Amino acid sequence: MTVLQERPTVETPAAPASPAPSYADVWLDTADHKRLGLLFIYASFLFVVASGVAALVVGAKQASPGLNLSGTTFARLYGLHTQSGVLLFLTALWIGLATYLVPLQIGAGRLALPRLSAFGFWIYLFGGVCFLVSYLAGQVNGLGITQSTPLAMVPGGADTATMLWIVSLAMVSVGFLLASASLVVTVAGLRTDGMTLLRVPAFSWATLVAGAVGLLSTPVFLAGLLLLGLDQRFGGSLFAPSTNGSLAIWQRSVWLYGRPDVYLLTIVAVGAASDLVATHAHRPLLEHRAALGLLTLMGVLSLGAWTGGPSVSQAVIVPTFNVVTAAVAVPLGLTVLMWLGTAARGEPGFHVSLLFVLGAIGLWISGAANAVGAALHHVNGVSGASAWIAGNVHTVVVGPPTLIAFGAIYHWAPKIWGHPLRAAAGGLVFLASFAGLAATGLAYYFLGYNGAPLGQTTGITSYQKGLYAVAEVGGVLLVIGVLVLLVDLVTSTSRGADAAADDPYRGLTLEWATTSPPPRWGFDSVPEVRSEAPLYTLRQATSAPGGTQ
Amino acid sequence: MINTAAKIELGLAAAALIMAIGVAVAFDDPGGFVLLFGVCIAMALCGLALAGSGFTDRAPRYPAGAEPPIQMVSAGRAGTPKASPWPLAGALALGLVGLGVAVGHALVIVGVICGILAAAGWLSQAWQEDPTFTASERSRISERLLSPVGLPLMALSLIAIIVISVSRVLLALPRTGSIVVAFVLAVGVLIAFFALSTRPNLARRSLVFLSGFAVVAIVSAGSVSAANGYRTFEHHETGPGPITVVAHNISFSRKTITVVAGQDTTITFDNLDPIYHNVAVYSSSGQPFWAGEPIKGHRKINYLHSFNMAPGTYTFRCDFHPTSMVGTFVVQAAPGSGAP
Amino acid sequence: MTTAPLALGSGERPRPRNLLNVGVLVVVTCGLALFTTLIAAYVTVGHLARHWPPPGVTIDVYTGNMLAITAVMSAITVEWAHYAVKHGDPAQGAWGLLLTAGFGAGFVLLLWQLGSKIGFGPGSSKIGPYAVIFFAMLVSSGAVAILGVAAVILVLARVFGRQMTPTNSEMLRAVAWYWDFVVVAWLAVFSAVWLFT
Repeated sequence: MTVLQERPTVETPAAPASPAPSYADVWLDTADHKRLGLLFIYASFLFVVASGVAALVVGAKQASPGLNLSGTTFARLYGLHTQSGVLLFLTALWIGLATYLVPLQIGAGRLALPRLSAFGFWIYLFGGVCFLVSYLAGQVNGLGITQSTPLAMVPGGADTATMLWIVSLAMVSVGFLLASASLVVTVAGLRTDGMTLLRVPAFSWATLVAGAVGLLSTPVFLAGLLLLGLDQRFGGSLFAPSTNGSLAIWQRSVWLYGRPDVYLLTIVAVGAASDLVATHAHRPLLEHRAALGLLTLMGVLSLGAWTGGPSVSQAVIVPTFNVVTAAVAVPLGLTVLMWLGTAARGEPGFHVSLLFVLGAIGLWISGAANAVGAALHHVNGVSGASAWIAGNVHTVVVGPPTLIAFGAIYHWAPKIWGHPLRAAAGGLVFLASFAGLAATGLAYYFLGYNGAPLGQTTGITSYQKGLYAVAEVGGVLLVIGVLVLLVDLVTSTSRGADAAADDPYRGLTLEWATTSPPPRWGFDSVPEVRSEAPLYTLRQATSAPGGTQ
Repeated sequence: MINTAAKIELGLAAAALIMAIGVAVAFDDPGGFVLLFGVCIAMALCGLALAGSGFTDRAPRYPAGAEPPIQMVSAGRAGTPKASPWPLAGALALGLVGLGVAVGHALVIVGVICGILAAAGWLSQAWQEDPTFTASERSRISERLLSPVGLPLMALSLIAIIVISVSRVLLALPRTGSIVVAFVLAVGVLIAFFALSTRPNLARRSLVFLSGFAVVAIVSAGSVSAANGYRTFEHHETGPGPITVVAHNISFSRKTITVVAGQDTTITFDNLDPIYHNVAVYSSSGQPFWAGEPIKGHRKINYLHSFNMAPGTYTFRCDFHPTSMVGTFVVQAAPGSGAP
Repeated sequence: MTTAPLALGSGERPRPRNLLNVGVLVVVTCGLALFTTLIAAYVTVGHLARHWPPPGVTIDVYTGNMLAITAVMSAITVEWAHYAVKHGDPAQGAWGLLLTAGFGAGFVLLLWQLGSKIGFGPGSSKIGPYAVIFFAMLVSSGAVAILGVAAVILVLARVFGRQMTPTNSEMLRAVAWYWDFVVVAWLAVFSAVWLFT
């Protein structure tokens, strides 16, 4: 006989079952994907705060003799800021969200290789600490991995701080690699009954695609770091300017913007935003399979970062560094159109997380507009790089993934912490972070049109000074945004009352089919999946006449 | 069986292959071709792995209009992963190795030892979680392996670790400092065991954590001390007094070194730069005679060498900075040898 | 609405299998990408250099061949071990694994010897791009091989503990695949440096 169907949230026992005694409150030995995800999220915020403090210390050390930062100090601050922002913060935040949510979205309730994920997290944590220590303890050589030309050689071998910096980056990358390997195997092997690969929610799919590409591009980075480490340690001449081909090796293996990794954050963010839009439009995406295909296409095109010739400096086209990767804009634009169509066909309800998606779309549009502007102004991308690059990084490479990450936190907070965050605070976070990113990005774009080079320390005109002030205000706004988010997170989730419902949004995907927050085992029972939006289908089946008895 | 995941991976591999061929045709760039082609191979391998994995899309097909009501699948709690401290221990070991690579060699060895321990722990947990592991199996292993071999081995290695680490610390500190440290350590051990004996009910877990922490602390202190070198003990001097050479800002502190031929000579070399320097002796035509071990600052080294060379004038220099760090090396005839 | 039992038919989900195997294969994919990068760097610099390998470098044919032969032998023994365990003969499997560990240790020692012979250290004053890339290849091969030997010893312990059975030998399969990767990686390096230079 068949069984009546109700909302699964009603059916899952609300009263917590007696927790297993082994679930001691020791986070150090956890293999639970929810705790690991939270560890990644908390560590990423810890590092964003710590690297801010470290930047203050590094700046204060040198600021006392005169008011101007000297060139090397500026370089160190710049390196610290970009690397900790992209790697330690943003990548870790997305991996944390994916580690928490993907096993729930696919109805598994566990990771495929949980101890590998835990191993990855702890390596990332130690690597991140070593990274900060390397900048605090000594003079790290050069601008870091965001500089497009190889690091200068030190005769007789580099100092301890530089070696520690190289090792710390390797450790952080290995940590990310292991965590994403576990996620890829989870999506491939642990989907629940009925969830075919093409019914996987967009965020899980994006995690799979970004993981697959990242598993191939992170080792390339590791190999580059190995070569760099040997070169620096022994004063070798592989990355010396006199070695033919060293530029191509550097830009493909070490330079952050020459590797597919730059696009991976965007892929994951687009996947998450697709889920956000569909959930709040209360209907599945217009064409779920097409959305998955577009995400995959973005992953394929990101591999194009390696197709630049050996004389990469000529092959680079400024906005996206390369012809093939410029094409990433096409699937991105089509996905945005699909979001708009989904919202138009559905019954969209307002949620503060949608603001962040809108903000990200705005930043992408400004990036596209300025790509045209760059072509008109003949801005140079690599040799004697323009300040325009910094604008592009803030509005395209890291800006939208940051905004959508904040939006994702607001969207999934009821599930993760069991308490919704405050909508008003969310609006404030959005205003501050969006305005901050936009101001910084636009200021650097205009600096680029004005002829300012990247990392300018001399010959600053008064016009440029004004723009730098605007960029700085933008940075302060972003910091305010992060702080408001953290305060909101701490105060909202420590409330005793006001617990979130299990499914506050009438969600579509399986993470809403369990309690908020989920029990350690994830699910007591999972509805059989018949479509890409299982809860939507379930709801329709129960409400349709004759669908239930 | 070719499942969807395998199809997607193989498709990605094809895309990478097209890019690789494109790079090879468009640019004269074998490096880019190798990179993209290797990525293609790796993706294809991943696709084959997924194809052979048996991960199939478990989704029954229903005739249109006749779908049975949606069932709830009981998820069960049996598959919930069990907690394990070994990932943390392994990451700690790897971190020590990394730190050792960056800072000094002693930490690498400590890290490798910790890694071996972590791997053994990880293995033993996996072993115990295996369905074939029963109580009789446990007693069999503990009888045959753990009691006769494992326990003495563990005790011995613990003693060795403590002795080696503490002695490194005492050797590195100045004389009075080492006495103070030894005293503090002794009192600390006394207090710790007193506390333990008064509180027999301390949880086993916290005990393990505390003792693990103590071992790690001792080992780290020992390896840091070993990396810093030992305090100098009284050394008998031969030849015309100790010769001190300081390297700072890529230059030597002295322009001339004078030694006596055939006598044991100690050259104390103090490197204040964060990079490698050494002292090496060459003839004026560039023929090498002797090269001291290169060290990285801030470190001091005592080169002990007997210069059995014809009396005369040579040059000394740093092998890394032969143009900026050079000086005159004078070898005097030994007294009573009759040479001019 | 009444509440009714939820689990029907399918009951509790089966214990997932092959996760470890696929996980190892995914990690192996990463490792291949790493060696690919090193070989690509070698090819990039070699393609643009006037003389490659640079003058003064002699390629040690004997050690290279010995390394390749040892690697291939170890791949055969580890597959033999898996085959034996799969067919219910754990004693032979243990022998195969022991031999693999021995070959692996020999492989690492040969690599060490090769690495120490190229005079790569802080004392040598002129370190060219060739030495950096070649040494990076040796270091990577050595690192993955040491991990492989450790894994072989761990799985050997479980064979001794009677935990690898014909129906439950997932870990052995994973370790054997990992070891095959070590061998393939070395053969790729070997063909880049020794065969096709």
